Amino acid sequence: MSVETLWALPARETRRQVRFHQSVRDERPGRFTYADYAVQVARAADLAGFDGLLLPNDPDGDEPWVLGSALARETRHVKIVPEFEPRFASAVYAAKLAFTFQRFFNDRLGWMLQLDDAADEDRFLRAQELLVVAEGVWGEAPFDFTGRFFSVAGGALFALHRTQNVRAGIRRFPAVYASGDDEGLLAFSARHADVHVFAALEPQTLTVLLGRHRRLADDAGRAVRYGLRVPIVAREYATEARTERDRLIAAGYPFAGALTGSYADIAERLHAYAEIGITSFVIDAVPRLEEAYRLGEYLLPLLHAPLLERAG
Amino acid sequence: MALRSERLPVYWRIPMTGDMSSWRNAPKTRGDWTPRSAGSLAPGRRDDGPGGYTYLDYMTEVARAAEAAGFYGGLLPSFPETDDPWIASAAMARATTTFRFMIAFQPGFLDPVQTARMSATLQRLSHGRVVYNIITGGGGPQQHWWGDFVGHDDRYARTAEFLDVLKGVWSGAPFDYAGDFYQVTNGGLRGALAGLPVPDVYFSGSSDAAIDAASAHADYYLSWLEHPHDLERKFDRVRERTALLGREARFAVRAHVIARPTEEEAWREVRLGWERVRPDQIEMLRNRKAESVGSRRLAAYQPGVPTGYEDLIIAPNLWSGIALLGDFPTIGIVGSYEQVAERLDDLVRIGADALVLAGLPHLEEAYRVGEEVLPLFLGRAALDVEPPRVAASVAGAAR
Repeated sequence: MSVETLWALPARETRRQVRFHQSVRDERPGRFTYADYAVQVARAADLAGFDGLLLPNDPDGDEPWVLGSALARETRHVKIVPEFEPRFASAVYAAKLAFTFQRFFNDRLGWMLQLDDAADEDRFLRAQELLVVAEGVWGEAPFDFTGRFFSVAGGALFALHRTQNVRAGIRRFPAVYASGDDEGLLAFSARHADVHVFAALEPQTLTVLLGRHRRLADDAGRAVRYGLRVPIVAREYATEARTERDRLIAAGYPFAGALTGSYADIAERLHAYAEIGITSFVIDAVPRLEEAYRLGEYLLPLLHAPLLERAG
Repeated sequence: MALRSERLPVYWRIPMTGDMSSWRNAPKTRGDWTPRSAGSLAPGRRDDGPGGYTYLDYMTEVARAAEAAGFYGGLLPSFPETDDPWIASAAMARATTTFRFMIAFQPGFLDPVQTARMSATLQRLSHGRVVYNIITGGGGPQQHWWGDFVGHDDRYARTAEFLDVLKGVWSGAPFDYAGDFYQVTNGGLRGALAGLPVPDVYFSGSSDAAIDAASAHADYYLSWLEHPHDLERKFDRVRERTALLGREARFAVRAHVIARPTEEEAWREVRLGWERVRPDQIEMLRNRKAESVGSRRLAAYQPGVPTGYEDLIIAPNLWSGIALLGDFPTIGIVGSYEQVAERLDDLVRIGADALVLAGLPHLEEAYRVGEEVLPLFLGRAALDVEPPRVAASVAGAAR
């Protein structure tokens, strides 16, 4: 058994904007933007062995598709998973954006669907139509569909398909991630998502949710993988981790429920989640750059090693 | 009217569906569009594995070359068979410094609020190098391919709403809008995305509906190259419509150029390209049922049945057979470096405030045109200089 680790990279960061006193010479203003920092975080996650980056959609921050493309250009292995609302583009155009991304960056795109606007009653139908049309035009044969939100006649990304290298094969449709735990979301993701990401609830509570979701997926004749969005504060000693967690909370980070402890403690907690079927961890840790190296150096070896032994 | 002292921006084209090695050779050997043709440099061929080069790497080289050669930016066209210009621009912005990205799109592709957010993000990470080329017209099967079933003239109404919403949310929160196509409640770019410069809007379209919409919303009205007399009349129409709205029109022209040290060498390139054109290609182009008014205007420059490339010379240094040599607009400029620069000066004299040029292959020709033609091009100073008398022989030098 192997697990996937995604590094959460928010669309903005406030802690890195230190200003000098006006009497101190500072060449930075106007030269750097958040993207310069985000690229460093992305490279850190890539170098430290994480499998991907989750780019949450934040109205006050950079837009994840554009940011993601810039990050993809400057990384080699990490998967890029932008979060977006299904209404963001026409379904054909969403497919085209994705296809180009897969061509340019060797199949490293994932889709995180944002479906948390409870006031939008149509959100699941719209998302479903988006996926039906986007997957439909992904093929080489002309595709027709008439829906309430998206329609297409004779659509197919055939021209881009013709470009495929014979041995490299067809570009992969991005893995579809969804998250949330209300009934509508569970029902939707059981039928349409590849990975359902839960919040880091206690394993017992989660076991119940996973069971319910698996039954829904079984009914739909599908297998869905499960992920966990988990804030982590890990240090060599648990006392150091608790001190750091308290500092983060005082600084306004929502880390009250973070997994906190020594590297071995955290690895054990994650293994417990792996035991009940979690195969994908979306990790929040701040500061994003330094913690990517820290967890890459100290946590990932512990996380992967016992799993490999069991698989062996 | 633009100020005389204002420097005229010259853009280059970024090839979005592969690149040909020359006008003489049809296969797109650069990129993976014809990976099995002889001489193909399709990315990934060396090991076919992930982690190798992709077509983006070549596009980035073209952008770097054009930037180094002095071009103001690049046009990234968008058609069903092309890669996507938003993804490409975000990646190429990181590899360039001053080069602008003129992103072609139709309002039906993206939600206007999403477009504003993507653009503001790209403005941030490129330090303000985003330009729009908004396309509205066309129609028929290609429009349905995109999943767009809105009729031709209604699409212009949608474009107007799209730009209202885009500029509305750009101006900040709270922004509300209730249109036929778009509704926004309490919108507006916030936080890091607020307060950035709005991209210039280049607007294409030749129909009456297009010209009306351009008059209201365009910073630059962008046209393919046509015969200068026709182009001048078209610009006059836009100028009149725009003046009625109390606005001032600006113009941009797109043209492929075949520039060589001598006119003979330039026409030789055309002749060698022409020799590989099959009769059925000529027939297909003549019979093409153009959906856009602009395409129909260009089709009018095709004579009955051309018996040689000379039949397609419509004015000194202007050749209407470019579309036979690749997926390009019909008319291009062919001549010596001096002649090409003079024809570009002519375009300024009829009103061009910006140019979008292209040549094959896009990488090497970016350097050639930047180094050999642009230094001879006068820009707005052409307005103070009498046009040189053009050689009377239209095609004579070609033979």
